[in-house]
Amino acid sequence: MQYMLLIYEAEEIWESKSDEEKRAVLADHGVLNQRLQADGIDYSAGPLMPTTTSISLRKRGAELQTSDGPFAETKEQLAGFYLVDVESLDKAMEYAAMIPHVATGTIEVRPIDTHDDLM
Amino acid sequence: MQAELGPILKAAYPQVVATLTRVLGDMDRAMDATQDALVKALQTWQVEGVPSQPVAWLVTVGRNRAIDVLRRDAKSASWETITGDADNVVHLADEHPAERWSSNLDVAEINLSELEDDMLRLIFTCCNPLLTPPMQITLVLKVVLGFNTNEIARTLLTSPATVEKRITRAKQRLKDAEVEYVVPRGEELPERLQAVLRAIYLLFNEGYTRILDGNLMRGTAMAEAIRLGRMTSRLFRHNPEPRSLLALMLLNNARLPGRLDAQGHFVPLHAQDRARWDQAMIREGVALIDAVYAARHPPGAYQIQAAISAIHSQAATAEDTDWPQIVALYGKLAEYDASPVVPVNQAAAMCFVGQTHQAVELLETLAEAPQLRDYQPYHAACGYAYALVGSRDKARAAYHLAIELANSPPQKAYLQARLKDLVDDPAHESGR
Repeated sequence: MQYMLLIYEAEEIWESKSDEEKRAVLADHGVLNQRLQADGIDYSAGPLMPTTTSISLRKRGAELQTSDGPFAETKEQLAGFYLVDVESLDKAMEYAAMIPHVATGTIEVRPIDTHDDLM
Repeated sequence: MQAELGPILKAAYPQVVATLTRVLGDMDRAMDATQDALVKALQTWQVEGVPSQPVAWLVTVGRNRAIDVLRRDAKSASWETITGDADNVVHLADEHPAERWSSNLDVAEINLSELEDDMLRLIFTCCNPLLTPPMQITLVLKVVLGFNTNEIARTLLTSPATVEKRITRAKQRLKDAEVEYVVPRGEELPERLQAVLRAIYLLFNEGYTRILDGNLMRGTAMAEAIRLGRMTSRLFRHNPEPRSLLALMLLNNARLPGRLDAQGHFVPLHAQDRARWDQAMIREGVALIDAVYAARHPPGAYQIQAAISAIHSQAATAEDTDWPQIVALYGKLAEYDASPVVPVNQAAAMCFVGQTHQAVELLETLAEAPQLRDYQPYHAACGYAYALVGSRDKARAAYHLAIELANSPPQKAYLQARLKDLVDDPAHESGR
């Protein structure tokens, strides 16, 4: 079962960190990556650039509309993700709890829907 | 996992001061209350963990603490009359009668748009046009970022006494003019936003030019300007100029390491080691300006400058640079920025696309501009362009002037080397 681990955190928190503090967070990600590899888990992961770089698209009729920024204007912004293939929700939550931002933001755990029933 | 509290508190600080200034009706009182709330947070959060809404928690604690202080201080006058917003404070005081210092605060959900309005009020107040730009920067550092006097003095390379004086004068001006704590509306807004962006860019350039002068301490000014740029980019997410300014600062900052060699000597763009540019910062700057262009915003001065910087940043070598595009962008920029510095840069770019005679012509039309008389890059550009068209005497005279005006040793050394080339190389060919 694949689970998406979505990392939400107020962007101000990352911006308020010194380079040293940022490196410490990256090191914690490194620990998680090593653990996933050691456990033989299929996964992918990626940090996202700040929401100031995002653009939202919408097609209404024939018109493709673009607007600045993320779709949702929230206190915590989507900052990155892990996509893990694990046997259970418990396992997914175990890895989610190792994401360093769990202490300063929120990790949303969501199963990937394969839509097998419709195939 | 126990989070480091530092970054969380630092991130919350501007928001808490902004909201408390509205609630308490006084900036000084808001800053004191915020400090009290931070101390309380450090004690409480270590034990109980970070609350789900740190800003709301801090605002609640700060507000209640301020009310206690007001009550204690109110001896002859009633405390309601001391506050700028008495109704508000009375109302707030009644909300949490017993558990004011309890860690288990019943923190109300604070509306996101209300918080953003508070941030806007705070930033616009600090960058009020009644204040001089140095006052604006000083106030932003103190109020928005929570710097103390010594930190501001270090960041701006000035004395703590000067900082104190600026803050006192700035506050007096705001008080005398009875400046309201509001977000400018309607027609006033674009102009006021420009003032905010100008103050942020000035702070950035403070750091930038001092680093070029060999003062490495100034890195903090640039980092804080970028932080403010991020803040304003989010607050004005539908306006492209704050994001364009952020892109411009990131791209210029990214290329700074290439501008000085190991001995601290100035290196001109074409000779820079581009491997020393910060590629991560360039990627973000380019992503920002790409997004601005993708949304098809009307052009603005920062947007065009960022686009120019993005072209330089992405070119593998000076020769690979899309110089015709840069010449065109400077032409466009002149429509939005009347400064004679813009055509100086355009003329310099023209030299790289073989338009040397046009460059000389353009530079000569600027000869009477009073702002350029003491502007070193103008005379350096003249020296360069005259040398290319073979006007060696004029080139020499221009370089001499530029050397005299250069205020940093690396710049001076670079210009002297160019002048020496001119003298040493009698066969110096014209044109390119």
